[in-house]
Amino acid sequence: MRLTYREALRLGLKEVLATHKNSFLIGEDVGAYGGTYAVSKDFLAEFGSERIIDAPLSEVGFTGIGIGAAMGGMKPIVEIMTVNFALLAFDQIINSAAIVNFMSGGQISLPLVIRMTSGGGRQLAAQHSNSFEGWLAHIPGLKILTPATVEDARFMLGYAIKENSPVLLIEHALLFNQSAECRENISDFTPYKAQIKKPGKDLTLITYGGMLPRCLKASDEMEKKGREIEVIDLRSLRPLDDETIFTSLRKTHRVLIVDEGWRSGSLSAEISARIMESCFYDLDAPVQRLCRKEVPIPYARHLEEAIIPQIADIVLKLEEMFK
Amino acid sequence: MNYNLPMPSLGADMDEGKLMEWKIKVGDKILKNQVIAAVETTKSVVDVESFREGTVMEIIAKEGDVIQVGRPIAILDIKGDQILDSTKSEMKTEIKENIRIKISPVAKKMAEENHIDFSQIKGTGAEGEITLKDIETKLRTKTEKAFLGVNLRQAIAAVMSRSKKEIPHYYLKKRMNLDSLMNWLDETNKKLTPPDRLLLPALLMRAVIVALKKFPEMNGYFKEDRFEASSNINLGIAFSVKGGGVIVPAVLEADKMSTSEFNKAVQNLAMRTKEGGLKNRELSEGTFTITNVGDLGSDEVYGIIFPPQVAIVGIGHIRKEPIIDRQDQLRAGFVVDITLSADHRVSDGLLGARFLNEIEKKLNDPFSL
Repeated sequence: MRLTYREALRLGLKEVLATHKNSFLIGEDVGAYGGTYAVSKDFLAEFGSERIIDAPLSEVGFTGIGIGAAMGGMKPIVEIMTVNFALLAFDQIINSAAIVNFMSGGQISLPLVIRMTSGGGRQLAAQHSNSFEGWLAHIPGLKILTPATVEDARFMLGYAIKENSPVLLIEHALLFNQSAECRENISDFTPYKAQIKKPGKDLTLITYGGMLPRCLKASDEMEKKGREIEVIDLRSLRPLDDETIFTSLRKTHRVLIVDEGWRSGSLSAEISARIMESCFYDLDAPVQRLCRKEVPIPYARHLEEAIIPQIADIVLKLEEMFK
Repeated sequence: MNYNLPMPSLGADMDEGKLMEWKIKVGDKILKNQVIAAVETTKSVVDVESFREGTVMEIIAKEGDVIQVGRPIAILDIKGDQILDSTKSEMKTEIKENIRIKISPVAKKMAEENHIDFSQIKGTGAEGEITLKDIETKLRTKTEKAFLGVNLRQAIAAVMSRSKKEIPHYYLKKRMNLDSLMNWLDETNKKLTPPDRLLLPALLMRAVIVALKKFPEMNGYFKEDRFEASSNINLGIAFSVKGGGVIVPAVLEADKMSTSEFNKAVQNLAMRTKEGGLKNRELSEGTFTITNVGDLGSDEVYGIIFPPQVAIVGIGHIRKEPIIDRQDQLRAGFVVDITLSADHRVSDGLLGARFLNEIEKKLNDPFSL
């Protein structure tokens, strides 16, 4: 079946709501409006206002409601419009959700899913274009999933809802209209294993989320120049699947990490450090990173494009690495 | 005290060696077993290791010189142990002062594994650093060089003539059924991942090694009119060389290895025979030889003993043949003809026949391997 990323998210959410009777969706505009990205369109009529809850504009409030409900045995799905507004709920996410299990000595578990979008590229200016997923991946107690493909958009939520701990599903705003074939079900689906989206022997290109399609296109460009790039979709930023990264690197001996976040203290820094710790003697060149430039995102399209890694930037970087 | 470092003997048939490359210079402090030079023998280019510790006083042989075995190639100053400690600490400071060579970690690892001196390699990386590609290129040229300009034919002629002149050979052959071995091998390999899978030729050699432990009369050297059994089994394996000829590097102390270790050692030896990086000991210390025509298709091969060894086993082409089984039924089965050429000065045909029977027993009972 061919689906768009948006349709896949919608289908996945619908299946979860239909299967898990103690699940509910809460967030801004999820009901009457049908969701900011139209993921929950018509759900209010189908599942009723007890399970599709329009919350007031208070991220800290409705995230807290989700946490409380999860502590009480429900399976809440909290939708935060974008990662930018999640800042308002960081206290709830980091100082409650991530540590309740720990602080209760394991007595309280938190089957909570928080969905949000992330990333720039849509001319929404500095305060609406952040990529904070790498930041969130810093926190023990959270699991961070970044669906970059249609199948992950469909199945990650169904997996996350069964976890007994908080899972953050970070979708990417630029992916919603991408379409691809999607299987009806995947029996051994696990979101915590990175996937090799394109095999290659010359260099390992590690990425996730909104940067994946760009990296795949860049690797196609490089193929025309006789370079075989292996593209890895991390899928999960916490836990990180070191094994897949290391295995690939031991084959290619070169690595580029493309991360939409800012470079300083980024997820790409973490991956680079792990490679140094475990694979130093397998490297044939220094680990390289391509990240967003360290300024707030400008509104003007050409400036925004100059700041977020584009296909041409990735190709240029790869070419430099083969000089 | 001065010590004359001689051109080493890198094989029983070696009279002289050509000094290809010095890896030390005057003033260097060298350690025991440190690679000091590359020497071309009639067989290949071999890394020569020093037997002594000391300081290089003088380099006598120039690169390109052909030197007789035993003649000095360099002079070392060897001192007592207490002074050695201070030379070690001096060495450390010297390394610190050296210019750092820009080489990628994986390239360095590969260079060290293959005994390549990377200090002379010009890197092709963006900043002139040495990359994996540079080491691979060096390895290829080293391999090509290893067999260039060598009169291997002459060396083989000399050794084989000497063998046939001096050694009264006797020959035996036994056809052995391999069905149970091959079934066992299939079953065993199903459980192993490809790099660990056992190879049939390695397994046949393994059977010979296990049998050889019971027949010390086959394993050792005949020197100065008497036989001396060897305490180790250094299994020489005859490899064809690209462009013609044969060399016989040995798996050292093969009797102390497990089957899987031996399997890996054979593959590693074959790789280094092809690509360079054989050690002098591997070429000079074989105590027994196996020649395996295998895929060439001859049904049987009678080897000529590699002096001063006293026996050689030949493994023929593995093929299907009619077999009459214990119930007198005719069926097709895998067989191999295994031959023994042995030195009659050391053993007799009866012992040789028992040795072949022992090999057969091992092949019929793969679990004993």
